[in-house]
Amino acid sequence: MRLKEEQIARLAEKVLGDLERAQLVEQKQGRAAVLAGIKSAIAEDLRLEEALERDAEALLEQTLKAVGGQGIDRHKMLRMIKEKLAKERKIVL
Amino acid sequence: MHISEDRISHIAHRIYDKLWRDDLADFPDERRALDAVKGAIEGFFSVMEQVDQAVRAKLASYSQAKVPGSREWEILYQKFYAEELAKRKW
Repeated sequence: MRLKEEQIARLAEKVLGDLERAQLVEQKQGRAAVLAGIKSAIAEDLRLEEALERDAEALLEQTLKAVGGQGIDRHKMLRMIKEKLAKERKIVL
Repeated sequence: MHISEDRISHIAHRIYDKLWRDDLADFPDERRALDAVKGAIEGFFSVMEQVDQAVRAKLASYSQAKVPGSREWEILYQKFYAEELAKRKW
């Protein structure tokens, strides 16, 4: 999942707006700080996901080189590597 | 842009944990707050999906249809995407 900075900002605004409308949040350090916190949580998770994808691609290439790559379903193997890394890193894809 | 329910729940927990851990916010009703965050994320991606589909349909029906993924297609996609968001006052 890829989101541009402005999309992250829009998503953060929607999350906070919905919480405020339903009176489900008490903001302790002001709205701007809460909004920044939401953006940062989303951006950090997306960064972890991107890092995982990069690492999975690199691992796939290493594996294909090591075994020759013949008869291997690249797509399936990439998915398996991603799932393994996600489990190790406690990321939900 | 497809996003699974598990992924939505995961991101919602990340947001909730961040706000609580950094002492930025309190939540009088944890379960309802988490549900609201999940609902907001789901709603956001639902609109994104609708916009994407509308833009793709517009591109496909364009009199001078471009090859999907080509540079011209991408430029038009971005242009129509911005128009579609503006139409929805996003």
